[in-house]
Amino acid sequence: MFKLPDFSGIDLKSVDVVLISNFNHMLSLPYLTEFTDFQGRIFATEPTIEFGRSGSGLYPAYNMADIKACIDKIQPVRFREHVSLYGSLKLTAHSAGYCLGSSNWHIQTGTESIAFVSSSSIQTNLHPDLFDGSLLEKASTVIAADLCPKGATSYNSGVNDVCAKVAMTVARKGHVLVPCAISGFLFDLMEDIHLHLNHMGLTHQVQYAFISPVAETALQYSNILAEWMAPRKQEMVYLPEAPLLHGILQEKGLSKTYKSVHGAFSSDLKHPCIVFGGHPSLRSGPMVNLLQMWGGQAQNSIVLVEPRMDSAASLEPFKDLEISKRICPLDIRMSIDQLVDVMRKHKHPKHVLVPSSNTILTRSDGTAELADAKNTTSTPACQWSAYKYAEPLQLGIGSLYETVLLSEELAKGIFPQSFGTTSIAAISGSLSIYNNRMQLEPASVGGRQILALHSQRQLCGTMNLNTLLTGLAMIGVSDPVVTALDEIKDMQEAEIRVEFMLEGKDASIIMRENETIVKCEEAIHISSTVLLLKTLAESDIPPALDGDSHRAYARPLELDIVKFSALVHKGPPITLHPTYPHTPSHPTRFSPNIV
Amino acid sequence: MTIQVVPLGAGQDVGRSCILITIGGKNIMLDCGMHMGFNDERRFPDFSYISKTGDFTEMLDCVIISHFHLDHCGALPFFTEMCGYDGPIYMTHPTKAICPLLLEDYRKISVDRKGERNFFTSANIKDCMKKVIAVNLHQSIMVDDDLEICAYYAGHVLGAAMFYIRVGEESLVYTGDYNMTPDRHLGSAWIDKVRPDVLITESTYATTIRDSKRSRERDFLKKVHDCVADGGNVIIPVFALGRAQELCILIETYWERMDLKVPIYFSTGLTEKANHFYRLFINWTNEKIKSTFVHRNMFDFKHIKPWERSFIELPGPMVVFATPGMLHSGTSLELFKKWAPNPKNMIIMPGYCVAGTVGSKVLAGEKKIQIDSFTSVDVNLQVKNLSFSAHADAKGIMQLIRQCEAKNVVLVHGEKSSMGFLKSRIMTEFGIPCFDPANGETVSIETTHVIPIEMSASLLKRHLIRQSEAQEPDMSPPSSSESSDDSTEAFKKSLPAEVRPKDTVLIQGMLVIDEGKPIRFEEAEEVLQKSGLAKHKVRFEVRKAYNATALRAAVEEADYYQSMGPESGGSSEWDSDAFALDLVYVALQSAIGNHVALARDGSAIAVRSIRIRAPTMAEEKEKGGLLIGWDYQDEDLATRILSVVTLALASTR
Repeated sequence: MFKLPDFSGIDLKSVDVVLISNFNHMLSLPYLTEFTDFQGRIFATEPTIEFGRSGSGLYPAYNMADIKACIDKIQPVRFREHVSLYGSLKLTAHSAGYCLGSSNWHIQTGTESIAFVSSSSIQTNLHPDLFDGSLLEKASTVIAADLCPKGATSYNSGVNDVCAKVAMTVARKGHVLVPCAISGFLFDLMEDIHLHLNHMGLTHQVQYAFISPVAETALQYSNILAEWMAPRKQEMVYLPEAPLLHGILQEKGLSKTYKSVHGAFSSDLKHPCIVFGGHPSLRSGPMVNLLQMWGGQAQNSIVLVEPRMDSAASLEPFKDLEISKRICPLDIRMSIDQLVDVMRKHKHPKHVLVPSSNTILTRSDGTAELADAKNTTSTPACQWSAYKYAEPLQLGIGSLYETVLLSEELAKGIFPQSFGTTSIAAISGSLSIYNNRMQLEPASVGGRQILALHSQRQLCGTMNLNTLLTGLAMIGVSDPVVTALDEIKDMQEAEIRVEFMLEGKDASIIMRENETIVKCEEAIHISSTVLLLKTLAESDIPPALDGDSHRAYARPLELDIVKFSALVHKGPPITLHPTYPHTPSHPTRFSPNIV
Repeated sequence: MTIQVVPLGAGQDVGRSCILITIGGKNIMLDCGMHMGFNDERRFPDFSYISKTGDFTEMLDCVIISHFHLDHCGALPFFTEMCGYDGPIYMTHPTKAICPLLLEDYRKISVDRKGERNFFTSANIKDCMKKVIAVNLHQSIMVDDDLEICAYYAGHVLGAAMFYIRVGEESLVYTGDYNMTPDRHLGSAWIDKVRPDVLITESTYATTIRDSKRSRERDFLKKVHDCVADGGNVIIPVFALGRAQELCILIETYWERMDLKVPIYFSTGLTEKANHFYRLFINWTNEKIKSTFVHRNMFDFKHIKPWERSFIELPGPMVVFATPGMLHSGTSLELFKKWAPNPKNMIIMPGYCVAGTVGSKVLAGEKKIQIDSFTSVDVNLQVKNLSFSAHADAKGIMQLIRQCEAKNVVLVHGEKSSMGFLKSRIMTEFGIPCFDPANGETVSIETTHVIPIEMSASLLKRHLIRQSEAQEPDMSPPSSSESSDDSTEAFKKSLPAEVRPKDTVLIQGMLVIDEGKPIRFEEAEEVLQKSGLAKHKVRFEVRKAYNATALRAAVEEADYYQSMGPESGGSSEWDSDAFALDLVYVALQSAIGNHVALARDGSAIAVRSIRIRAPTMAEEKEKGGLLIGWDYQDEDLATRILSVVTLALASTR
C-alpha cells in the first residue's frame, strides 16, 4: 500500500529544491527530509502543506514528530508569487485546478524556462481555482506528469451515473458507501449528489457521514480556503456563506463527521446514510466494518469512484455479498489531448516531455510518438519525448543568459560604436550579486587593477601607411625610412618596414596584412602605441597595404575605454536608454499645486 | 526617472486617504477614503485635481484600496458611480467582502438619519464592488504589461494589506495602515526586502512609542472591572470590525477567567455577520487562532450578547461595545448622551478620533460638548484613552523602513507636528530623504535608473571560476548601507574566505546592442567572431635598458658581505642578463603571482603572450638590456609588468 520511490540513482545531497504539486504527491517527503541527507529547500502552497500535514498522519510509516519536522521545513507560497533563489532561479506556482492548492510550477533560470505540469484539471465546474495556463506562455520546455489515461470517464459524464445510483439506493431506504479520501473532487461530488437528491425530493430523509480521523479538520479547513477556489465559489464568502456545501449541511446538522464507525455513528443513524471516507482499497479502515454491517442487504450499495485504483480487485473479497456494487471511476485529470489544446493557445515550447505510458514508440533520435493525441508528432520546432522510470533525459537547453542590471553610473561611461545595425562597446565592472539581483557597477580602483591583469584587448581594422606617415609627421618625426619587401622576391610575407627616430631613440614598425610589429626602446613605447592606435582609427582611405580596396573598412575597438576612449571615439558619448518601453500612457501628468 | 507623489487626502492629516502616484508613466490612486470630521464636500478627496473634465478612467491606470476602513475606501462608490471611474480596482478578498457592509452602514446613517441627498445608493455600492478585482497576498498581478502589483500582510484589520508597485525597475510601497506587533487576533505586518525607491507610510503614531502590549491590556481590563464593580456603565465606542474583535476576545477571556456576571453587549446588528466573516477568513488572522479554529472558534463568544435599544433603560452595570468608534452618530452617540452626565460611568476611547468628531472633543477633555445645534451634553463621566488602535508606532515605522530597505520615505496619515519629528529621525537614522507633503503638494523623487541587460551565463561562469581560483581579496566596498544588527552579514564576515559566498565579481566583456533586441553582455572574443570584423594583431618588441655595471656592483657588494667566498664575483663569466632576469622574476612573482601564472625557463620569463628574455644575437647583445615582447591584447598586463621590471632593475642602483 505504501512504497517509497527509489532514490538510489540520485545523490540527494545535490538536490537543491523540491517542488510539491499537491498534497497527494508528498507522502515520501518525511522520508526525504528526516531519513536521508537531503538538505535542499521545499516549496508548496499553503493548502498543500495543511492537507499534507493531516494526510501524512494516516500512514503508519512515520510518527508525528517526523511529520511535524518535515512539514515545518516546507516554505509556503501562493499562486503567482515569485520566489527567487540563488540569484538566478525563479519559481512560480500556478493553479492546476485539480484540488485546493494544487499547483503547476514554472521554473526559470536566465532566459530559459520549464513548466512542470502535474495533476491538473481544466474542468471549470469544480471547486478549486481554475487551471492557469499562463505558465505555458513563456515555457521553452514542458514536462507533463499524471495525465489522464485514454478512455477514462470524465467527471462530467460519470457523475450523473453516480448520482442516479445514490438516489436509487436512498429511494429504497438503503445506505450508500463511497470509499474515498476526504479531499479533492469529493467536495464537488457531495454537492452534486445533494443537489440531485434535492431535485428528486429525497433530501428530507437522508443523512451524510464523513468517517476518517481527519474528516473534521479536512472539512473545516477546506471551507476557509475561498481564496484558493474557483471564482463562483469565491463569490459565496461575500454573502457571507461557507463556499463549500458541506459547511452549510454541517451547520444544519444534515452531515456529521466521525473519527471511526465506533461510538456515536451507530446511534446517530436514523435515515438512509451516505458514507464518505475510508480507503478505496477496501482493505482497512471503516469501510471494511461497514461492509460487514451492511454488505448483506441488497438495498444498500457501494460506489467506487477513485480512478487510480483497480476497483474490481478491491471488490474481489466481497464479491459474494448481496450489497449492490457499482464502479464509476471519475477522472478529472487533464488528458494529453487537452494538454495539446491548451498548448496551442500559447507559444509552442521547444520540448514536451510526457510519461512513457502516453507514447507508443520512441525513435532512435529520442523523439516520441504520442499514443492518443490527435495528429501530434515531433517537429523540428517542437519535440515530444517520453521519460521513463530511472532513465535520465538530457535537455538541450540553448545558450543561457541572465538578466543583469547595468547601473546608470557605469552606463554613462560607455561609448558604443555602431557597425551597421549593431553597436558594440567593451565594458568592465564589478557585478554585485545580492538579494537575487545582479547589478553591474563601476569597479573600485583595486578592482580595476585586477581586471587589467586579465583584460584581453581586441583590435580590428587595417594599417594604413599614409596615415602612419602623417601621424609620424605630426609627432615630429621628420624622415622615416620606408622599405617595402615583396612577397615573391623574398619568399616571405609581404611587409613594409618603417624605421624612424623618436625622442632620440631608434624605432621600427613592421606592417603585414594582419599583423603589425613594433620594435622600440621601452622608454618610447607609449608614444608609439598611441601613434599606432590613431593610425588604425583614422585610416579613412582604403588601405594601400593590401591593395584590396573593397575590403570592408573597420574601426578599431578598444577594450579599455577608460584610457583610450577620448582618442578613439570621435562623437559625444552615447547614453543607453532603458529597453522597457514605457512611453507614458497618458498625455498629461498631474499638474502640481492646484488645490 | 521621476516618481511623483501627491496626497489628495491624508497629507499631514488623518482621514480621506487618497494618494496619487506617477511611476514609470503610470498613474495610480492609492486608497479612496472619506473624512469623518466633515459633512460637506470636504468629506471626499478633491477628484477634480486629477482631471477637470472627469475622464478619470483615461487618467488612472488603477485604484488600489489598502483596507476596509471608511477613511480608506469611503469615497470609492462616489468615485466610480458618480464620478464615472471605470478602470480596475484592487483590494484583498476580506476587504472586498467587508467593505460594502461598512459603506452601506455609513450610507444609512448619512441618508436615512441625517437625510442627506445626492449621496451614493445601495445599488451604487453593489455596482462599485462588481468592478473590484480581489487579490491574494504575495500574488504578483500584472495590471498591464508593465505595471505589477503585489500585496503584503499589514495586520491592522482583517484583510489589511500593504502594496508593492513596480514599473520597470522603479518601485514603490504603500503601507495603508499597518501594525508591526501581533495582537490577539491578527499577526504583524511583514514585507519582503523589496528595496522600493519610495515607501509611503502612515504615521498616525509617529511620536508615540507605546508601552508593552501586556501592560496596556491589563490597564484596559482593570479600568473596566473597577468601573463595573462600582456599579457604573462602561461604553466602549468601536467600529463593528477590527478593534472590536480584538477587545471582545480580550474581555471574553477575562470574564471567563474572573467568572464575572456583568452583562456585555455589542451594539450592532453587524456583529453576527462580522464574526461570520472572521470565521471564513480565518487564514488572515494570527497563527494561534488559525491552529485552534477547528476545535474552538475564537469568534463564537459566550459572554457577549447583542444589544437591544430597550437595554438603555436598564440600571446597569453593564459593558457596551457601541458603534461607531468616533461618537459621530449611531448607538455610541446615543449612549454617550445618556451616560455622560453621571461620573460613575466610564468611556474608554480605544481608537484614534478624527478632529471635529464628538470623540475628539471628548478626548480633548471638553466638559460641555455641543453635539448639534440643538443639544449639548455635560461630560462628567470618566474618560480613558487607551491607545489600542492597531497602528505602527514610531519604532514600528522605523522597523518597516529597515525591513524593506526603502530609498525614500513619504509620510502620510498623521498629524503635521508629529510627522516633522519622525521625519528628522528617519533622515538622521537612515540617511535617506523623507517627505511629508500636504494635500495637493507634489513630491518628485528622482530614481537612479538601471538598464536591464542579458548577460551570457558562460561569461559569468568564467569570471566566477577565475575569481575563486585567484583567491583575490574581496573587492566589495564595506557595506555601509547595511544596518549593524544584520546578523547574516556578521556571520558571513566571520567565515573563512574560501567558503564565503561571493557577493561581487569583477567582470569584463562586450556589450552588444542590436536594435529591437535586448542588450547583451558577452565574451569580447565571441562578439568579434560573430561580427566578422577583421582582427588586427599588433606585437611589441621593446628593449628595456638597465645599468649592468651598477647591477653588478650591487651584487658583488652583497655577495662580499654575505659569503666572503674567494670565487664570488671572480673572473668567471658573469652573466648580468641572467641575474637581471632572476631579479625580475622574483619581483613579478610577488607583485602579480597571485593573479596570473608565471613561467620561467633558462633565459626567458613567459606570462600569456608576454616574453621577457635576454638578448641572444650578437647584434642585440651589443645594445644591452632585456627584450620584452607582447601581443597588444595583453597590453594592460604588459604595462603593469613593465612598471614592475623598471622598479626591480632600478632598485639595484
